[in-house]
Order: sequence, then C-alpha cells, then structure tokens
Amino acid sequence: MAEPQFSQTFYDAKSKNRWRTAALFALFPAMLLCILYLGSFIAAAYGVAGEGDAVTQSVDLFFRFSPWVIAGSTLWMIAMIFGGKNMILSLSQAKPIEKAQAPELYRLVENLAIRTGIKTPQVYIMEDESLNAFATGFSPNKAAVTVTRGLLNKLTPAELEGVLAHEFGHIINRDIRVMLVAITMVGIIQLLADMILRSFWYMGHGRRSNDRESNGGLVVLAIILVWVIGFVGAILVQLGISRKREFLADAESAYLTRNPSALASALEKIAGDPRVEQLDGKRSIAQLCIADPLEDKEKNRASFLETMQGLFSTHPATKKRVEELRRMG
Amino acid sequence: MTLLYVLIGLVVIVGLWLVMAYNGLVTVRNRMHEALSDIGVQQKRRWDLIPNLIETVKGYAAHEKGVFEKVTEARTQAIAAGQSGSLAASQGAENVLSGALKSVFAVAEAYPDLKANQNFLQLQQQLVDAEDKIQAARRFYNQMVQELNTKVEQFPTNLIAQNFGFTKAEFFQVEAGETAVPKVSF
Repeated sequence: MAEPQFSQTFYDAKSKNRWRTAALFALFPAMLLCILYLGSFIAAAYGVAGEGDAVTQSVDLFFRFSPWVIAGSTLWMIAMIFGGKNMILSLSQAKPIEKAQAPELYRLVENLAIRTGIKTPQVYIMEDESLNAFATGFSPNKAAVTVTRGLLNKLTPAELEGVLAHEFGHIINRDIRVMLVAITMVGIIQLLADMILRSFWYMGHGRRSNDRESNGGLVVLAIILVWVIGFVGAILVQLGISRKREFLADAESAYLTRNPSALASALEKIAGDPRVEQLDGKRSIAQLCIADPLEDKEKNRASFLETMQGLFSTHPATKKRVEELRRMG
Repeated sequence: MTLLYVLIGLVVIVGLWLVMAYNGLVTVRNRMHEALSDIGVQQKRRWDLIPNLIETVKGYAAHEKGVFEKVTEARTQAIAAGQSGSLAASQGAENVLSGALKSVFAVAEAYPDLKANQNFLQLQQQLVDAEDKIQAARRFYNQMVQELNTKVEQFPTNLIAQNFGFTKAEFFQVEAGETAVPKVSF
C-alpha cells in the first residue's frame, strides 16, 4: 500500500515546517539587533552623533533608534500574521468568486477540501490569460486559493485538479505560514541592510576626506558584516522557501489525485506562459506561485541583495518536477 | 530536595505527554467520525437525486424499464444498507448503485433530445459531483482510520488507547476501478 508511506512523508514535512518557523522566530531578533548596532556604528563613524568616541556614539544611536525599529518590525510582523492573506490577495488584484460563477473549479476545490479534511478555502480568480496559481492563509482552515483565468481556460479538468491539489499540498503542510514569516522577516532585515549600505555610499562620497580615518578599518569590517547579514537573510529565505517543498507539494498532489501525469502536463503548459503582469515587482507573491510569474528583466533590475537572493532560486526547474512526476505515474 | 524537584519535573512532563497523547487520539477519532458523516451526507444527496433523474429520463425513454427498475432497486438496497450501520454492506450497496447509474447514463447516450435536456444535464453533473465527493470523503476517512490504527497499535500511545477504550477501525475498500468515476462528456 503506497498511502501510509506517502502520508508519513507529509507528517515529516509538517513537523519540519514547525521547526523552521520556530528557528526563524529565534534568529530574527538576533539578526535585527546585530544589523541595528552595525548601522549605528557606521553612522557614528561618519560623525552623525557628535559627542564622544565612536563606540559611545554608536551605543547612543543604537538606543535612540532601536526601540522604534523593533516596535515597527513587531507591528509589521503582527500585521502580516493577521492580515497577510488579505494583503496578498488585494495586492494581487484577485477577485473572490461564488460557486455559480465557476462551478467546475469550485467543485474541484470542495472535493479536495473534503479529501484533506479542511474547510473549503475561498476561491479567487486573477483576470489574466497567463497560467499561474497560488495559495495563501496562515492556517489550513483559513486558506484561499487563487488561479488565473488563463489556467481555467487552458487546462483540462484533470490538470486543473492537479494544480489545485498542489496548492492544497502547500496549505496542509503549512508551507504558506513559513513562507510568509520568512519573507516578512527577511524583508525587514534586507530593507535595513539596503538603507545602511546606501546611506554609507551617500555619506561616504560627502565626507570621505574627513578626520575619522582611524576607524576606517572597523567601518569596512562593519559594512562587510552588514553584507553578510543580508546574505544570511537570503539563505534564510531559502530555508523557508526551500525548493524541496515544491517537490513535496507535487508529491502531495499526486497522492491526493492519483494522477501525477495530469499535474506533469499542467506544469508543462504553465511553463509556457507563467508571466502575470499584475504581479510585477511583487516578489513576495511571486514566491508563493506555482511557477515564477515575474519577467526575466524584472529579476535583473532587483537590488544587489535581491540579486544574491536570486542565487537561490525559489522555484525548481519545471523539467525536474515533470521528471519526478512522470516517475511516480 | 533536588531529587524532589527532579521527580516533580518528571511527573509534570509525563502528565503533559499523557494529556497530549490522549487529546491526539480524540482528535483523530472525531475527524474519522466527521468523515463518516460526510460520506453519509453525500450518499443521501445521491439517493435524493435519483428519483428526479428517473422521472427525467422516463420522459424520453419510457420503454427502458429494466434500467429504471435496476436503479430503483439498487437505491432501496443502498438506503437500507446505509441505515443498517454496517460499513461493508453500505459500501457494497453503494457500489451496485454506482453501476446502475452508469447504465442509466449509457442508455441516455442513445437519446439526443435527452442529452440536450438542461434538467438532465444538471442532474448528471450533480450525480457525478456527489460520487466524487463520496470518493473524497472515503479517502479522508481511510487516512484517519490509518492514523488512528497506527496510534492504537504503536508504543507508547497503545497504553493510553487500551485504557481509554480506543480501538482499531475498519477501512473502506477503495477499489482500483472505482477511482475512474464515469467521466461523461457533455
């Protein structure tokens, strides 16, 4: 019997995701404090604070700014946890639909909800002729599934079911929660890192010739550390949005529908046209999608930290996923 | 004194584990019951649709008596088996009913007017949907049964299961051919 083995894997995925979320919550404050102190130190080295030696000044700056940044980050985090789903849905300009508007789609979603024992997720449609889909929601019983109009029009019912089951895989493995937490945390860290590095260039050009040369070596070290923390952030995203979970969601889909070849052919169709215009520049949503909806140009235009993040592409190659699925069927 | 604290700590940990393990068993068992009632709801939905279907088909193919009788008979059997509370009997009767329904749809193929009838098309869709949902609920039920049985057998949760009357449950037999629900093209 293949079933027990499969579901065992998914229990593993679920508990691994709990650990990942916990690890992220533990690491984030440490990274935030580090980067805040480094930022203060660099600012102090360029004489923003005025009195005392560099260390006193940077400690002073640190205590002046950190409470605000920490409070802001906490609020942002809470907002993401409670409102992340609605925010993402409104950012993506997806519209909720009733059963009567797309009965076939709705039935597939209902059946999968029965099959996985969760409440029927809300169904959203993005009016775009490209093919893509994503799921959101912090817990399985408050999830939402979004598909593009193109996906509805161009896939056969069996292929559509495969894609929806893939999204259900993310929902019941609680992948979305880890993704949202990772994206938010790393977003904050990278925003700070970017701000520090940019203002360093700005200040650096203005005050290069000034005194403080004695601190030069330390400042360079601090700047390298800011880079490193930004880099670690990218690795954390990788930890949260590991490519492995796409394979796992594919396997879950195969398990739920008993039809891996349908998902394989759906993925091939999707790979032909996954680009969704209304998701331009919305990286956080792109990471939730079944295939990367961003244009290639978009990826190159990203800031240097995001380019680094690009080294760890969040979506595995479709070819590999299709191969895996064909092997199952 | 230290020994006392260690002992208290151990008792608390074991107590917490007992509570969690017991609650885990209750959760799985409740989900299993819920899945069973989901199956019942969808089966009843199917039984309720059938008289309508027969009326509609009769309007176009009145002389196909044998088929109607077969479906009506299968439906009566399925309702009786469903109320008897025996999982295996109910499943057997439902499978017979599915077969009988397939023959109705096969007959309908020969009547173009019937196939164009909106009412018939709607009924057909709803029946296919009910069948899909019965299938989905059965699979979820099986998954929960498997989870419960594992817990009931596995050490150390088996100790709790034995003491609080959790027993192994019976699987629905999902037949290989059954996953291929009649895919009728309209």
